[in-house]
Amino acid sequence: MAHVFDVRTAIYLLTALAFTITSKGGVFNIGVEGSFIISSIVACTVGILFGFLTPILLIPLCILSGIVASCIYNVIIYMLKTWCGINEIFSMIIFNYIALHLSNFIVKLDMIKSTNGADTTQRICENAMIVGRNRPVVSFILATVLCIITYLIIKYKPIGHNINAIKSNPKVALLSGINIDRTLFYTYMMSSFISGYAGGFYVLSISRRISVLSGFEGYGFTGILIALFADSNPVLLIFASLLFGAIKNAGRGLNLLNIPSQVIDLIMCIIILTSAIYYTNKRKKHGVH
Amino acid sequence: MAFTNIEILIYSTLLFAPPLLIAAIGCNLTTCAGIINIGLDGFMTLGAFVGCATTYLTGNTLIGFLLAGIITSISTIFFAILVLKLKINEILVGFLFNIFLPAAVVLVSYFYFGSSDTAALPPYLKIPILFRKLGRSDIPIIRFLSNIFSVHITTYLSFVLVFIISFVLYKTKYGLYIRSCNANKLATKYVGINTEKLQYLCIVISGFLYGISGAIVTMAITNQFKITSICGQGYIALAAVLFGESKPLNIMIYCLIFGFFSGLKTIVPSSSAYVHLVQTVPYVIMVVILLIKFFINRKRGII
Repeated sequence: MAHVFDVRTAIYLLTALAFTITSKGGVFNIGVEGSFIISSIVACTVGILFGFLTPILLIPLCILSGIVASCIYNVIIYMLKTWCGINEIFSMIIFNYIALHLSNFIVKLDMIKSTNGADTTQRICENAMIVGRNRPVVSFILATVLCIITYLIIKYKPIGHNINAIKSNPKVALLSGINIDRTLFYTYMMSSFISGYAGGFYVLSISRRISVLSGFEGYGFTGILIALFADSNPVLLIFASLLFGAIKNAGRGLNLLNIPSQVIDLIMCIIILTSAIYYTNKRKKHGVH
Repeated sequence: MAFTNIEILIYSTLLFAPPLLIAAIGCNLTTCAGIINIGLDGFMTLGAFVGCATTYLTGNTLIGFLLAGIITSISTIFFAILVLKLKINEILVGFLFNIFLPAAVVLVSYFYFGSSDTAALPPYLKIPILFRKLGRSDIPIIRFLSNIFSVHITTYLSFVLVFIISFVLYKTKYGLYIRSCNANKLATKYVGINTEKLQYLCIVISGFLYGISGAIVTMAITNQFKITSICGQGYIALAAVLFGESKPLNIMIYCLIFGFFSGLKTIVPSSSAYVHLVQTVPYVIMVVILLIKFFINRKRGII
């Protein structure tokens, strides 16, 4: 049980939530992965450099800096989209790779590089670590609360109505007086808040250090898969992330048996593909595209 | 062969540009038919693995090179069925293929080679280099030219392919049919052209090109498949298509530019931290080019 239910489950839930919020507004947010990477490296850097602070100050500071970094990252994408009219999926893909290589560059800086010559940063300071045996449960409950809040906002608040409107028909939304750019800005900000929180929390609670990444680790991409499986419903997301978190965490155990953990990715992709076919057929039947 | 710095830059441009060029011209084919294939990174990974592994197992470069294309084009049939027949969102399908294919490749690699990397190809199985013998001349200009032109045979192949595909696409009847699928699919159908069939054909041919371009990466640039050998090169090709606005010459120029900036990492020593910073340069250049294009268009009053 301990292997199957992990802090990572909560991380997957958070990244899936970050994807869900933007997909409510009709944006396929591949940039979750990039903002996760950026926020985790920034939180790690702050956790190493500001080790003299007390935990009560330092932990919020780390997570907050991660959130700010993620927000800046998403604001750039948003500005490219609304001011310059650049396709957001395209700029997100580009920025994912910029984030990946930039993170590798920061890891190798002398300021935070590990002293024993490995391709990782130093461990973050003791004061910045989130410790305790019931971390998985607490973090999962926190993430669940965030999910439910998001669900309530989208269902009952005017902003949620606006988000739904610009997805289902942008022209009608524009004519009925909804400010599309501002609504999109809010969705981006909510999404980047959550993915930034996920990145910061990931560093402080499990990884404790960032290593040089040769490719994407896939925390954001797994979140996207979970969100696709749950058909972008914030409440279904909770159960979907429990399922996929278990599958994904079990995959790391497969390495002990000399089976590559990529088997898990295969299984997940097949599940998602099947569910995508199901959802598409369902929409076709109801006449909604 | 002694290289000066300028020669290294030109040579590495000619080394890194062909995979981008072939992938971009394949992507251009599907884009002209009205399908955006985000999954070309995954397809290139498949081609890279199949090319390297089959060459190693069969001991014949040509067979491996062609098999890479054929198997990738078979896998693109699934993409075509999912997008055209089952009508799933093409971005979603492309995204799934980007995760699925590298994972599948690693699994197969584990069966045959015992790790995620394939065995290294011996030098005689790599893609041959043309005009190598001229490099011994003592006259500086001839040495310079021969250093530049003694590149892999695939570099020449890529330019020929660009010419052929763009000729078919812009100068023949069938090219017009393909492009009209994008412009107005319904009207094309009512004229009596089988648009579905054309789109299937375009996707399969582009799959062959993706496979070849992946095979070039592992069989010409490096000699081994690693899971990171195609890290984002497909997206760079996609960017070249988007920037070039489906004009073959523009696509070629952008591919050479991106190949040049991808080649920059060969100059920086791999132990320093700046090698990672240099790897961001092609992507930053993309954003800069996008911004420049935007401001030019705004000045002209197009937007």
